[in-house]
Amino acid sequence: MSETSEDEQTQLQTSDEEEDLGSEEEQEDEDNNHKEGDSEAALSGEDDKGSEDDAAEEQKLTWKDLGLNEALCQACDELKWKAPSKIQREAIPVALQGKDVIGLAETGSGKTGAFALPILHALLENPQRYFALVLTPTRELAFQIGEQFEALGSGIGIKCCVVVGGMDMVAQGLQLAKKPHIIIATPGRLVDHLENMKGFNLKAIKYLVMDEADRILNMDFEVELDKILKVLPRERRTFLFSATMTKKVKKLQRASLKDPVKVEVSNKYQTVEQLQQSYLFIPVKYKDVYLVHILNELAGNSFMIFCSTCNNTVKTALMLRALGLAAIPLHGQMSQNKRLAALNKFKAKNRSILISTDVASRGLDIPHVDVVVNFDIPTHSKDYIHRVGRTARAGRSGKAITLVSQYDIELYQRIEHLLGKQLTLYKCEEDEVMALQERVAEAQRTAKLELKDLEDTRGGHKRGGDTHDDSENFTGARKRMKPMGGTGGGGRKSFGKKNWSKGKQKR
Amino acid sequence: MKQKHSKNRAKPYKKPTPARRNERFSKNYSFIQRSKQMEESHRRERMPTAPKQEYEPVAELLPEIQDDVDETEFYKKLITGVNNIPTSDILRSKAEKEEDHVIPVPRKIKPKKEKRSEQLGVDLEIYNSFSKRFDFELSTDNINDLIARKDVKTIKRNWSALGNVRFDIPRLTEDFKEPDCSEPKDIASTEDLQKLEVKASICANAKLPLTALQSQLFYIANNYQDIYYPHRTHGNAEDIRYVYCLHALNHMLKVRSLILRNNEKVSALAKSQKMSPNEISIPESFRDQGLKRMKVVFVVPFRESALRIVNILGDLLFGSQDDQARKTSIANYERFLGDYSGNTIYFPKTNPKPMDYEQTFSGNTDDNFKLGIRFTKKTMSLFSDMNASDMLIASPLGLRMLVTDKESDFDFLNSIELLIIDQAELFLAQNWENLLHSLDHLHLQPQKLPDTNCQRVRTWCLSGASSFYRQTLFFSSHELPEFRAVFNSKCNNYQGKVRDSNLVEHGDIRNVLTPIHQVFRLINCSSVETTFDDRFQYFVKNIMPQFSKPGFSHCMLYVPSYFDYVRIRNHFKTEMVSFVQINEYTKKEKISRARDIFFHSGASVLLYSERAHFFRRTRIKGIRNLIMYQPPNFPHFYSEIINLMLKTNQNPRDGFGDEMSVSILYTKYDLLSLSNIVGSENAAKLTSGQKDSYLFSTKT
Repeated sequence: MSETSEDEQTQLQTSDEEEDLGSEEEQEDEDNNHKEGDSEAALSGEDDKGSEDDAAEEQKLTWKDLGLNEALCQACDELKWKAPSKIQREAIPVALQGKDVIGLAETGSGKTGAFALPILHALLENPQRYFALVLTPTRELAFQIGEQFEALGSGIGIKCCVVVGGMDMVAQGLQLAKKPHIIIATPGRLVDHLENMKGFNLKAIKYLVMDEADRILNMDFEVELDKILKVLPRERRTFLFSATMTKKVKKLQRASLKDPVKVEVSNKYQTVEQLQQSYLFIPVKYKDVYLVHILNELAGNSFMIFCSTCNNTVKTALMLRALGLAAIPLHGQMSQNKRLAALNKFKAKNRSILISTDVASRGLDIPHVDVVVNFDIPTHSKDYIHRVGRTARAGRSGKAITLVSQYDIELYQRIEHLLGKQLTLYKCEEDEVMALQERVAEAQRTAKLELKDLEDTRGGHKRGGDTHDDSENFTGARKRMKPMGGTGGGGRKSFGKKNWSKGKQKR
Repeated sequence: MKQKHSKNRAKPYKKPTPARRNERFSKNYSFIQRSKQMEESHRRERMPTAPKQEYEPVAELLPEIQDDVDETEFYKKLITGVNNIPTSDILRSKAEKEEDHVIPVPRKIKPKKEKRSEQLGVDLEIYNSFSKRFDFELSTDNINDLIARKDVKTIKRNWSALGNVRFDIPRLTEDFKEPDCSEPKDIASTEDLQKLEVKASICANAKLPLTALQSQLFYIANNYQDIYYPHRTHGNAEDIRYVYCLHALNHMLKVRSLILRNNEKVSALAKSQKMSPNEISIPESFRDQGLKRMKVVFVVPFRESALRIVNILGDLLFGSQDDQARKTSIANYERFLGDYSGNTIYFPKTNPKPMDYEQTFSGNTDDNFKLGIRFTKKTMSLFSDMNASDMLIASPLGLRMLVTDKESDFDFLNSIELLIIDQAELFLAQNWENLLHSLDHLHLQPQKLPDTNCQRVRTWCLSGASSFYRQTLFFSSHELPEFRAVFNSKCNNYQGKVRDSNLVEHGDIRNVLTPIHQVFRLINCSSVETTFDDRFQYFVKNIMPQFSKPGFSHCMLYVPSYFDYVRIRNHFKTEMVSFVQINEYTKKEKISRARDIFFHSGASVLLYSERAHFFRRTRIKGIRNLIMYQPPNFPHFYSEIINLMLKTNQNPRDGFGDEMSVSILYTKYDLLSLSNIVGSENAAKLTSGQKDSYLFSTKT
């Protein structure tokens, strides 16, 4: 009892020192931990039974058993989807009954199929344009979902349209005007089209999907989401998927779902067993040297290296390239096409080192990564879960290494607390590491020069040229596009006036 | 005249790159390459002069041209291209024609059994040719075949008014039917127009009967096929104008009636759902519009042409009217008369200009204009904003300025369905590049979201295939490679093209009155890209040495292209040639001075540009030696210039005898220009023969 009391006092003191946001987050953690404890105590027996039943079901259950249309079962077979995943087994039958679904699931658990297959099933029964709308927080995720719909629906004539920022607005408008069956969109760009494209409306939508809803809300798309929900018909099915349950997500659920069936397959803040997690406690100035050492020691594997800023991403990539390692940066300030190109390079195994900000920690369909390195420790503990979730997926093993500097101790301890366990120390010989010091320093100087050239090319502004409304660094302070009518009117007036005066001058 | 000078002297436009150019259709770079070659040649060191070769012309009389002509690959292509008939087949061809006349032509249009509603404005019948054209959805394979110009069926016919007609129709479907290319009968009555599905309101106002030429042109236009007719004359110009205005207005009214009818249905549908039309789901069958409103573009050279078009459109819409009545039925017509009527060029009565000059330049000849026309249910409005216009009448310069105005977009050209180019040879004298640049800006993706309800836009517009649904009517007075290039490479109508392919029987050479030998000199060149350099080198090596001979004088060098003109002028200055020059930018006083110097032997050579002749038709006196650097682009200039060499125009005090010469330099790529001068048959011989010179003579 006395020990418990001491722990509580420590927590309270920590809470007082943090900012409001942190405090709120901490409270959420406490609530979740509390619930988790209860559930563990109450349902431990059932868990055992559940695992046995799951094993049995997993061997028998097929797509057809879930009630899917024959054409869709065939499409799944052609895509070599062997059997439904856990989230799919849970969600698809409920969705086929016509109920709203709220799913708590991680990326990689198959939730895209969990909502795509029921939607396509319903579409085959009642073909209709503008049938389903899928909202996602990032454009990369939107493209990924679009590819899945195309793959599943290519044999049955499905037309999809991906509407995201950073692409040509008029070209997207022309695609939307063709009335595709499925629209996959980021909220900001979709609102632009709803406000500016004459005749475009979503009143016929039958299915709404909000994928990664916690991300949508965290990226301050609340205004856009509210606008979209207002113009959607009330008689619709709604699927909401989220990796975490936050207050905002709960609020959204209450506002937009009717008697949803909750499907929960995520292990709360747990990492899979095949994941080997370790840390390195090192001085901050030797981070680069240790990173190079790790890459050399584990050469032959594919890597994802997470940095905290776009600048760090580029600098680290340039340094690694100077050392002869093939490294690809991926961050929020890159243009949409460059991001996709980087992803395609990494997917094609042309490169085996992807350096990114948290924009790539979740959502993106990146193939299996052998090693995840947290070069900069994440500021949000939950982001650690998403980062290391890039490896050890689908039953495969993986490694996660976190570089902890003298300034990161507190953040690191928070992560360990969230995981409920201590990570092992990554062993390496300091002499071997320091032997690389001179070469790494030289590479750092080269990278610094190249980075300076890049910034000069960009016009002296790091963030000036490539602001997109749904990128990772979006702060929510976005200029809304003016209505087309006003702009058009102004344009017309000046246009007419100019012509008239020109005509006079010429004569 | 001064105004025109200043306009011509204006700086050339810098061409901004279109935002999203359709890369599948490459731009015609001939003018750009030519100017680049000029620059390169100046930088290049002067080539050492080859030893002089004496030229010995082979004397042959026109009737005795030899037949031994070796065919080359290029020759075969061009023969096929111009649909040439060899000499030996002339009689056979005539025999075939006679046979055709004997065979009775079956009726092509069956009379409709159903009675047609005679109420004006309440014409709800479906227009087959219109809906067949615009409701057809091109597939991706169709578009790929059209771009590659695959699988095109060629059909040749002989019609009474059009002569030899060549149909090129793409084969888009497996069950491709043989199209009916029989000669249609003349349109003589209102019923004939009604059978062709012409709007009732137009049938009531049309001037009938149409001539055979009008009937045949309208029949093809009504089928929405492209037309290439290079036989426009001052005699048939108004007939042609009437036909394309009739077709344009008919198309426009069909479009509008369809949209208005669907608007009513959509409003009723929205009302039943208690929402606004922008908030409902509109069925696919109501897709009836393009992304932009503008449907028809006329490209004509002068404001006078626009004036005549507007008057014809008004008469077809409201019946024949005088200007006073038009002011009430056409909005802004009074302002239009102020801007577009009147005369800008003075025609002298003593020493009059040729008659065709007065016909070409009568009326308001301002070449910078653009006029938007908007149609509503009861009226026709002029000077409407581009984005609110149904029709546009513009000059190439006016159109060019529309698409290069950086403060506005050219989205309004996205959904053009009918493009009419008339008097194309005058664009060549103005600025051909303006036309090419403007044509490259049709059907580009809009830069802003369109104002049209997106559920009403045709799906082929959304797919960017609207260029295949654009009909083009092309009229010129003669044939030139530039015209053929536009028709072949910038017209992609999925329903095919119809080209008038009559041969030139005699050419302008028969109008030469001066008794003189005319020598045509062939320049060998390996490719079309090197023609400019090859011609220049030939000129420097073979022609210019004659300038140094004692007693050489009174030589006019006629240069059709201004780029060549500048190159030669710079070369003359470098070589210290004694010459005077007249070009389209030369002032009036300097022209007089140059003529005087030339006539009185003050300079040996007069450097003369074709456009100077086109815009002024100056009478140059004292020409004893004429060198045409290239065959003229305007065939009647050939005889006109040579006839200036008559004895009455010579200076008797020069002391020269009767020795005069005419030389025309040409390459095998000048086949079409040569056809206009010496006839198609002779031109084929000149370009394919083994000899490097041919002589035509009018000496007795």
